[in-house]
Amino acid sequence: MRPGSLSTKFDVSLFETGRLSEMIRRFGAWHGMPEDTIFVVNLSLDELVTNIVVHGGQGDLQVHEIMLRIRTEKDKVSIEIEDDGRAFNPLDAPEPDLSASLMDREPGGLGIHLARTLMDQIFYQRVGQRNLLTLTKRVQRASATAAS
Amino acid sequence: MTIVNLGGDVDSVSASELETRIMSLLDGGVKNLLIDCSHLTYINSAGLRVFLLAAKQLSTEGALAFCGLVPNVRLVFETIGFDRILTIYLDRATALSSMNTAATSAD
Repeated sequence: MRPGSLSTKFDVSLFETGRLSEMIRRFGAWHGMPEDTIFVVNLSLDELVTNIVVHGGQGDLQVHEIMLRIRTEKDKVSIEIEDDGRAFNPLDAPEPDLSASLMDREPGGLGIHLARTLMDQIFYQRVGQRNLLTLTKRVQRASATAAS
Repeated sequence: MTIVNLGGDVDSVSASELETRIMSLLDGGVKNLLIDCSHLTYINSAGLRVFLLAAKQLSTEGALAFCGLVPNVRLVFETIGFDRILTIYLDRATALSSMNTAATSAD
């Protein structure tokens, strides 16, 4: 991939996830990100930002802004999502029971499970009055794979 | 047999529209539903939740199946284990012949 970075701010609205997707697709295409990586990065960010919009506020501690920083290097995509809501670690959500039968499957927790599984790493930190999620996705370049 | 063509992106906003449409089909008495995903390029957990609700509702008296999943959408189904609890066919022709056979033998 071509090295590059993008930093932007989102309003706290589900309608922003459409803009987020559009931005990731354009940024990814411009920096030579493989299509399948664009898809999983887009999906993971969609799920995590949706989660912040829906669950990030409580009482006086509402989310006012969501910051996104994304950086590409040769073989890695690094992302930071930051918000100013209550202390909220989405990774605390219980894992869905994937072995349950259809009638016992619950719809909750699927989004976080997708992000956790499709990214290589996700970390949560509370930094001052803000939540910070750090994501990493490694990218194997097709040409490098063929050569090795 | 009712076939729904689902195309484009299902995100947190369009998922509620999807839910309204699918549920109105079920409320209208549809029992055998095939969702053709050949032109579905993106779906998030909000849309997957709708599939789960519909599958549960049809599981007792009817059938819900999916076909034509593109690789990215198939990856999503597999990541959350939906490939084990939902019926997925490779393409529409396979789905129709299997579902019609099943419907006939159930009569």
